[in-house]
Amino acid sequence: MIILELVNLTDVVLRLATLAAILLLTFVIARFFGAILRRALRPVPPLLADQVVKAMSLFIWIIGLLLVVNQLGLNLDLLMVLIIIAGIALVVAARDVLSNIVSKVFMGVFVPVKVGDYLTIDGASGKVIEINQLAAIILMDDGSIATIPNAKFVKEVSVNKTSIASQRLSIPVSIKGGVSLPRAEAELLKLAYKYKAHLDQRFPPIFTVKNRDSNSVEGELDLLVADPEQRETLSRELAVKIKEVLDRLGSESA
Amino acid sequence: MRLSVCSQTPLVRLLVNGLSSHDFLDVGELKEYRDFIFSPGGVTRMVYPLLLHMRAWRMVEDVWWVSLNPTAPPKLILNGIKLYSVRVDDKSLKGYGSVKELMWRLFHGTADESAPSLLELAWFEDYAYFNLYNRICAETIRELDKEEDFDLFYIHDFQQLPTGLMLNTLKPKVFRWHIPFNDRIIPPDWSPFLAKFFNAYEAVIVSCRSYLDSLVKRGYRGRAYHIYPYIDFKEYRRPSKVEVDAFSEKYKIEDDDIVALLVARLDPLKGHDIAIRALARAVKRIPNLKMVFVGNGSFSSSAGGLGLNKAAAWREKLAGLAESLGLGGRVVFTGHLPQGELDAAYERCDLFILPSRAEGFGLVVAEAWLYGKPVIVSSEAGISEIVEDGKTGYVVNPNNFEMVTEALTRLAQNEKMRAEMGESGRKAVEVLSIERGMKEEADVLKDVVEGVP
Repeated sequence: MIILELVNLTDVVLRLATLAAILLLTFVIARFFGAILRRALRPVPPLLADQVVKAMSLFIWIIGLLLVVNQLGLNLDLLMVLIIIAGIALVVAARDVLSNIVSKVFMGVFVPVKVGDYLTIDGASGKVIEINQLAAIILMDDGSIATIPNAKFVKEVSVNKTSIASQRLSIPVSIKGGVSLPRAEAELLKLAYKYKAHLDQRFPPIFTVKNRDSNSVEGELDLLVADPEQRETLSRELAVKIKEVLDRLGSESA
Repeated sequence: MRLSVCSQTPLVRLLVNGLSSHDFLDVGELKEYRDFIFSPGGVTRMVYPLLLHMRAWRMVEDVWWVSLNPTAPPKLILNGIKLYSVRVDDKSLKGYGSVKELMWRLFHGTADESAPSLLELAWFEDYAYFNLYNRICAETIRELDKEEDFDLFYIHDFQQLPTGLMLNTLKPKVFRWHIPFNDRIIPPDWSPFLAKFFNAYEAVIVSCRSYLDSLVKRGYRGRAYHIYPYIDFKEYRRPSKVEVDAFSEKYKIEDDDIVALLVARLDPLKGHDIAIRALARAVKRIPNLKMVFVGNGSFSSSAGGLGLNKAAAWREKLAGLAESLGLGGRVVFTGHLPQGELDAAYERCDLFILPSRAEGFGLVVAEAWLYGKPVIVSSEAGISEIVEDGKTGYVVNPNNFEMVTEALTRLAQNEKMRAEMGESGRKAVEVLSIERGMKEEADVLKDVVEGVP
């Protein structure tokens, strides 16, 4: 009898230790991924980044708690269904925000619009003074401000009245930490020079740094194509070549 | 105010290798001319005194000066000003040097007809190295800014124009353009390219009123100022008779010689050949006329700087020209002179000539005025804007030998005219005093930092 009680006690202690370990591990993983995500979201407005980090932390805690529940021998099915419904509800609720963030990725490359352009979209006409993660801010002719969600640029017709907009090509470039920025920039410019015959020679290529942290430098190689019809082909080819150059520099610096 | 200055030309060039320090190498503990020299030109004459005065007036509490100094230790200090040496590998330095040299000629309007335009040059492989040099400067300043938290970035001269854009900061940036900026020379189709870089600066300072108009015409939208370059009059002392005699003896100048002095680096742009040709005609009427050329290569053009040794080649060519025109012994090359001997040269000369084909400003004319000497100044020099033709000097077209010869002959023949013009020049130079220039410059920097509209 005493032996049986001892066995049960050991079992309980072991189970409690496992639960504690799961909770501790969940805490560590949530903090770890939170830190990584926060760093990755530096370009995103702080308020939005906070929300994304909180959502991810919540997700990890839910998985941790599910494991705890499982350890206690309770039925998970109902809980899983509830969580999936909640997840879907969250995505549906945030769909507009998410679509704007995704659209921002395509702007500049596939939708030729940049700060400084004069355009008409969704009944608003004016100069683009800012493009953030969620929207393009347009300074209208009467001095008022129009905020156009980024997703509109993907879904609707916009007319860019800037004379060189059809020629402009901005290729996003990510230079890994450890690779010399001056060296990488020089190599990218030399690469662009090789395409001189297909570029508008009144506008020599220029590299601009957009963002940076300890892991990488994010920038754009700005070019003007001679023939707007070749814009997409050139964009694709240069993107491949740029990757090759940066990979080579990366392996040299490693 | 915490200030970051950036110029291609370093304030000092070390003459000895192997000097190092675990922290800052104190240049004040070294001996000038044995261990180091100050770089000739505006950097030493204008920027350095400006910074010293701004420190003395407590306008700035700390200054970091970033410049290209491939052979110096990374960090030096001189009179409280911290000097950071930028290094660039040999291949990149060579590419950078060739582009900036051509660019310099383009902005001065002296490039060959076969030379590429600025827009064509920006497609050359070497332009990538010009860009690389600017990026290294910008990255260096950015790193320093993390520690120092500067209030203002003050960037100097055309070689550094892209640095401001590359700094990628909204902190105030002021750019000083030291060479000519003339819309007669800079075509409108360069405007978008240049304006992209210029407009990264909150303010741009040029040396003349006419350059200011050109800057606006070529698309600069920020605050544009013109401030005449300036010199510290106290730096120029009247040499003793013994010193002047020693100078004359050293360069074989007789008491009755009439000496025309030209102080400029040895570069075709400075028009030494024009002066020699004018001399060849003038000596027919004034047999005791001599020409003294003071100067050597710049930081770029000397073997000790960027290694573009064009100065020696130009000197050889000039010596050959003088010989072929029968002027052997009438043309004297002194090379670079220490300040004491330069003072003696100004004191001994009877007139001063600057027949440059193009000239950002021409502060040497102000130096000649300080010594009460009449001047013959090229109409292509910025300072011609303040020369009263016939009163404080003669303004001449450097491409018109007759005009240069006539001015040279008239002044060399007429001692009374030389004395009167020299006296007028002594009054005219007041507008180029360091006190005036620094006040104007400090006001601009202060306004930009404080965001005064």
